[in-house]
Amino acid sequence: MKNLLEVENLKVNFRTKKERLRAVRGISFSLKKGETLCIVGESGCGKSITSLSIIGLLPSNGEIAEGSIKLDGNELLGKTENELEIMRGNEISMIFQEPMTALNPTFTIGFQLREPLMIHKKMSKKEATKKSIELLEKVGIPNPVEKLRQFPHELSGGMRQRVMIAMALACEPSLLLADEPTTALDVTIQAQILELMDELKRQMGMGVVFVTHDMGVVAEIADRVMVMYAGEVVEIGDVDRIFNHPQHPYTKGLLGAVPNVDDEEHHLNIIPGSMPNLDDEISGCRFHPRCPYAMDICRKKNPTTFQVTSSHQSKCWLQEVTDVDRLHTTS
Amino acid sequence: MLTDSTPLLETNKLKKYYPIKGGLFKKTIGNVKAVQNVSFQIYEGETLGVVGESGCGKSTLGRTILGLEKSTGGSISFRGKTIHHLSESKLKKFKKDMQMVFQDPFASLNPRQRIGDALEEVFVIHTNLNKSERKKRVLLLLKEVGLKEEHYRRYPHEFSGGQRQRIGIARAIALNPSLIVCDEAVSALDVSVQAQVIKLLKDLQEKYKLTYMFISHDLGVVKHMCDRVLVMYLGTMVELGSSEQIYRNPLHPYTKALLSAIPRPVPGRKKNRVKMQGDIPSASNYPNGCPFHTRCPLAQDRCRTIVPEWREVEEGHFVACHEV
Ligand SMILES: Nc1ncnc2c1ncn2[C@@H]1O[C@H](COP(=O)(O)OP(=O)(O)OP(=O)(O)O)[C@@H](O)[C@H]1O
Ligand code: SF4
Ligand code: SF4
Ligand SMILES: [Mg+2]
Repeated sequence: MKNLLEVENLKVNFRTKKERLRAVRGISFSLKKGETLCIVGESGCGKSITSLSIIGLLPSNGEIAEGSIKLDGNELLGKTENELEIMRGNEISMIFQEPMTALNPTFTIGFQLREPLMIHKKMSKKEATKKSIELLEKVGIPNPVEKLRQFPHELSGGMRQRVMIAMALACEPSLLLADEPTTALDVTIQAQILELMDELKRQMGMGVVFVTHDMGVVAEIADRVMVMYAGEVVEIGDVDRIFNHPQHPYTKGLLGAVPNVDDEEHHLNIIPGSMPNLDDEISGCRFHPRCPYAMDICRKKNPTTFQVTSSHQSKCWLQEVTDVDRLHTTS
Repeated sequence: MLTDSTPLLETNKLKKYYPIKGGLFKKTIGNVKAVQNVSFQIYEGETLGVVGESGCGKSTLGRTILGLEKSTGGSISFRGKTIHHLSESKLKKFKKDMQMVFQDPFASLNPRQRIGDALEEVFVIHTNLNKSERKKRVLLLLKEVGLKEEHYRRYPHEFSGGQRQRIGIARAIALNPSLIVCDEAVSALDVSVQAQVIKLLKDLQEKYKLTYMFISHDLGVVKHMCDRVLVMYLGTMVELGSSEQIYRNPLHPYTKALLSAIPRPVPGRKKNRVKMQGDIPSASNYPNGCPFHTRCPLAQDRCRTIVPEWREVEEGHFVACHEV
């Protein structure tokens, strides 16, 4: 199947008073229609910056230094703010952790749902109202007609999140970006929202890029998983490969550090040390100071991205060793 | 566990209400019942988990126990002595023995004060140690929580989330307390950092025979930390038991729903979710009868009118539900 989204060698920098910080250091990935890609990793690894780059909403001191981002084959980098504005909400939508970043406190829910439909889809007010009610029903909001007259602050956190999802889906985008949309919610509400998103994705066949730091959420909704560490993609693969046959030492460490309610053993894996800062230049592999498998080459050369299977990649020298082992055992 | 020994801490029908003001003259028109008739014991050396969703009253419970909030009713006793009615000055000697670790310990730190000085202040207030003795103690503390001597001279903003939490823990253990209330102490941390801090808390517990009340919305973390678990919903206790009882054999429909809602790090796992309707009711329309009846899949007529009794269904396992 053709790729919906293709990101190639994306590099994002931030200008600060002192220097240029390299937040995203040349990452590549793709997404098919109807697929959910989870971007996972710890705070500051560049998950949000990656998704904000796609929709053209980087903070003002951020810049895309290199790379290409294609949606349906069309290059997005280099588009004018005007062109991007038309795409946002129409072909690409985004939902956030805090719904109030997307909702305007001074307008009713009805106004905020209608407006994009009238602008992007050229609907009449009446048509847009009808569609708004349908959308609210679709995201499981009771008494939608009444909700149209309410303001965001009159709703609970879970309901606001649903409204934001309804808004994001209003124009039936082909790509939905979701940045930690359930992180601030209680687990029982999170479960409802995740189910809803999965259901809607199925119905509408859109591609979803879902940013999260929660491995449980990843297992639940991802088709593919991309693990990031310190501005780089360290591993990418199908969800069962990542959970059942993780290759990169950081992925393994991350999986082992998650407290599991079903685990009788009570054993938590500890990754020593801490995440590097953006301005820490680390020789070789950026994970080597914390990696239990670090070899000489790891301190000297940044690993290349190895193909583990046709759809599974790991950026780690161990992979080369295994390849060589494989050669030796087969020869 | 020795259930016949005196508990380190005990509450009996503890209540904490906040008035709801309204109307023209801002009169009290009702109460938010943040904590309602909560009775439990914590024994020396154990970790009691308190779990529930936002607004269930778990933080208020912790703060009320430590005297940071004045209780509305019921009693609190520490080592057999009732403490909830004590004046601030009499409470001081107990407060030394009971400390708290918050989600963001930095909210309470002065950004212009070095960490060493901030930690030293604890000893200035509570001990007669001289300057050099105090500094020695602070350096020991830093080491104890896995920080370095050089951190003594650093300012709050120079620390990462995990290091901040270590400082919060250093402050809490400074005066050798017996009880530490941890309120979402590891919730804001990344998993790898979280695992490190959990290990630190466990190591300190073993070394100093600490007793923890561990408040968290994360049932995975609670499972790793706790000997017993109290589940709260809308200010009331719904279930209490050993970790084993709660996780292996949850009885209350809310506990079951909560456990089944946790996303498991296992792809393709068949989801057997307990279906639960709607949102947590707001404080202003508190349900009659069983507080959970508006969302409970098993709710019957009597649940809407009669408050279920708190019963012991097997040794040490308590539940409040008509249908159990
Ligand atoms: N406006 C900015 N100026 C300078 N640095 C920035 C700016 N915005 C983000 N960064 C840095 O870029 C890096 C990547 O940030 P990003 O927000 O993508 O992280 P993240 O993976 O989403 O983390 P989290 O899990 O905390 O949301 C971080 O180190 C962050 O501090
Ligand atoms: S390249 Fe080396 S240091 Fe980096 S993750 Fe692989 S083994 Fe560890
Ligand atoms: S008492 Fe009734 S409503 Fe409450 S939890 Fe039990 S079955 Fe559900
Ligand atoms: Mg982010």
